[in-house]
Amino acid sequence: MTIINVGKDFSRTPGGRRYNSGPDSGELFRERFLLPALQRAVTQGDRVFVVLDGPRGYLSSFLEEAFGGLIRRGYFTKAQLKRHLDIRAEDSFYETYRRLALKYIDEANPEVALAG
Amino acid sequence: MIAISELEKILLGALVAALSAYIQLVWRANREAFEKRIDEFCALIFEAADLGAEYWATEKPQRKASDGARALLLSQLRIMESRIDGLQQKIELFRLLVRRQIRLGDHDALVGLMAEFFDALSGGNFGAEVRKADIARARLVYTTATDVVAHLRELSPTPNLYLLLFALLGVAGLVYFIYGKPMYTSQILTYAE
Repeated sequence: MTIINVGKDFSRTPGGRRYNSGPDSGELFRERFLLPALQRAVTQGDRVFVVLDGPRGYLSSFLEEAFGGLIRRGYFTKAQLKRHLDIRAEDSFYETYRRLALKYIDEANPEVALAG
Repeated sequence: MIAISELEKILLGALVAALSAYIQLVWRANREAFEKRIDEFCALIFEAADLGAEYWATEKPQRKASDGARALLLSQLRIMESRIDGLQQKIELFRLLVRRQIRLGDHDALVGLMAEFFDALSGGNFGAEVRKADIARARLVYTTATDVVAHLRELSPTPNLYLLLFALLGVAGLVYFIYGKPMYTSQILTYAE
């Protein structure tokens, strides 16, 4: 079991969507943290817990790129993420963000790549 | 049931009136405080929506070192991005403030509507270096903001538990006074004679 605590392991001030949107982007989080952890989890039949608590808030574009991007980029299928990824919001403050992350995974389409 | 004397009737009536007036007063104060908070919450959502719609309706052009006007526009757009980010956090804070005053199902629906609003506000290519004006998203910001505000306006506060407990204790006291009191003043006077 791998636990990624966004506030502790990544940043307390997550940024925008892409690398060029500034520091601590969703793309950086996905490529540096989510992707390697999930690849290991899928191989070993394990689960990755992402704890959203800690940062002062998230931009929706960050969440879409980090979580929806896993599907859009063709890294994983929705079924794989359902089995191996668990997004948590221990504090109710992060519940909206958790809901958004799940929505982005649910709505992501492998063929569609967003501009920007 | 033992008969109650005139004096006891007056005292009992005054006590019931005072108790119900107090409960009504506290209930009204709670409701007014809740409504005031909802007003502030709605104002904040529309402030974020105004700013978001302006942001999305403005094209973010490529930076050119020689173009002063373009540089000014870009810096204004970056300030808007920071303000939208800040407003989003304030909105989250307000949700936390009203969370304990509303029903669980209402709160759940509020979280869902706010997620849609945030998606419109800071989703898409928000914060990208270059982007075209997106009028459809600007409209979506208002639509989703209106949905959140409409839901907030329909909410009513859940009863204050302490107030309910106080009212219950008051009723229990009255019941005890009427039915359970071992001896009334009138009886004492009768026995004394």
